[in-house]
Amino acid sequence: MSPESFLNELTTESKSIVEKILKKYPPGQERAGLREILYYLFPQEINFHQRKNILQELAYLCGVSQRFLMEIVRNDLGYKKSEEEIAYTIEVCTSLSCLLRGGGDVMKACEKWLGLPCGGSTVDGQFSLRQKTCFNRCTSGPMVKINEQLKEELTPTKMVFWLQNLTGEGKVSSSEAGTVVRNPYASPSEVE
Amino acid sequence: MISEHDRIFKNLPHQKELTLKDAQEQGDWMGLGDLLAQKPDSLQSLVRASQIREKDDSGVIVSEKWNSLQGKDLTPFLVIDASRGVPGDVSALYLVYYETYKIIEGTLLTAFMVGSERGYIYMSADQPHAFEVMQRVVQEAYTEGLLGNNIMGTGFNFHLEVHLGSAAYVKYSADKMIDALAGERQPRGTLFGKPVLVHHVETVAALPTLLKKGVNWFASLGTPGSAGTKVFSLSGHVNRPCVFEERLGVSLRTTLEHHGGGVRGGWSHLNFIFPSGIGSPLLLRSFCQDLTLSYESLSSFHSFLGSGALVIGNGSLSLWAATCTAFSFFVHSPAESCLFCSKGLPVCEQLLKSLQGFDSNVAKENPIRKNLEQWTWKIAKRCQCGYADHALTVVKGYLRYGEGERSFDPLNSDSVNEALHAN
Repeated sequence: MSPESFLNELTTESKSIVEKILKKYPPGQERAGLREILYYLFPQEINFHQRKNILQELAYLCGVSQRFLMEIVRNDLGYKKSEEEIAYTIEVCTSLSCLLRGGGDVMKACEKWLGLPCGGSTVDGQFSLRQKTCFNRCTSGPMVKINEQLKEELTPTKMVFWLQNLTGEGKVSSSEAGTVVRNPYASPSEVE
Repeated sequence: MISEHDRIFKNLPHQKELTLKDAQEQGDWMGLGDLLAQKPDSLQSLVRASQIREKDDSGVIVSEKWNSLQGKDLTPFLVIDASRGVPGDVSALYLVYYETYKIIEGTLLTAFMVGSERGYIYMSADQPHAFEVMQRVVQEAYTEGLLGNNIMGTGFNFHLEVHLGSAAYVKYSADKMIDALAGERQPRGTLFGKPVLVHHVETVAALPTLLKKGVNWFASLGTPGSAGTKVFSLSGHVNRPCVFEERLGVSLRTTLEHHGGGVRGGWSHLNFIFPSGIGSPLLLRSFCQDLTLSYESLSSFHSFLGSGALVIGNGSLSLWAATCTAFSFFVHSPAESCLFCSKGLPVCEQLLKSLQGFDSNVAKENPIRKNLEQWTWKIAKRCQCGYADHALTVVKGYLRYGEGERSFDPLNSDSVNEALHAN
């Protein structure tokens, strides 16, 4: 199997991106670029994770096992299996900086309102509550991530407002509930 | 306090998204041609004379790192560490967003001084937007002829790439970062078969201003052992958490009041600080009264300034609760840990948690404490990957100062009930 056979499976646009990434590293060191290749190909290529032959060839090209490749996909790039899909995944940061600013209270508020312990999911598949070690936005804590949206400087009251808003029980504007918009870190897709 | 004129990172207080034109107006990439026209050795001697330190947890003098390259014929790789830090440490990310052009300029000058032809900026996978910002600016630098072959007609070639690394925490060890970059274990001190030099992103970003303004100016900003300035990130129990640049050697109390609006509840409520994020040994209030923020001052208290991520705690959280929370980050987010890390750290966490309950639980004669000390010592000694030693720093700090602390459950608060009743 050769790099060409893998590249021929891709669209022209993806092919040029992958070739550019592979050029970053010396010959024979393709595995260093694996994470970046996956980062670009997953949104770009249709049903990328279901095309087993393409994944096999990519793993072979980079000299890694297919299992290792899928671990990168799940752990670093945040792609989940379809059966794990939940309408709203709520991740509360409970690292020290957020905890000092009230992250524990925000977590308790979520647990009480959803009737879930941390780590659980509702029976209807609407909500799942997780704790996260750090979003690296410690000067804006407490931080919560609802699906891909980051919300900062939360209090239990604001958190309950947001949860009500998700289920349509309350109608609040983002200005009332505080939050997301202040840059530094939210990417354009993350900002409401 | 630092004056506007002496500030190295001029965009940090304003936090505007810069374009190339904005960056040039604030002085980035200006006078670069003159510096590249000089001999690398003469620039190196300026950096050696300045005694600038690495802005990561090691805090070593930069020129001492360069000595390791002497006698090696192969051109070294340069790796710039812009990966995620421990909770509390966000300064690297702020620099990536707001001083991107300075980072590229500093990397280019460092490569020129050490004779490197290829470099990588290591970014974490959990910050994709920062990765794209850096990619864009590197591409812009190639277009402007500031990277690539024959830079500014000097005959110097340097290729810089942005690497998307693992989302795991690898900042504790340069070797671990190199392994993560290559995707497999590398022989110590090498990358892809060549020598490698790892610098923190803040260190290289400070070099252009140092070289342009001179060693005397740089030395005048700090103390004899800690020259220059430092970017601090301030979080926890302060009124205004923020990221700011300050001279080294300023008083902690003045800094907290000037930049952070003071400790929540007032200075008398200060309980502890972590001076370099949660990976550093904590300091009690009694040490903080006259504490100055410099490398030598903190090392005299068995701690270190490191990344300058100040996490402040007031009396509402005990040392025990803070230590447990800080330690759980290391227990539950190891990179590729060894057997001693993966099995030993959870045991230490259990022992640490069982110290809750009584005021005198951390007393030296307590058997649980003795057991924890033994485990800490054994794991740190036997672990070869270096992670356990780094992770247990926070526990060691607690064992040193935690005696007589009262217990407190941070999750048990009335404000939750108030919020729920209000709705």
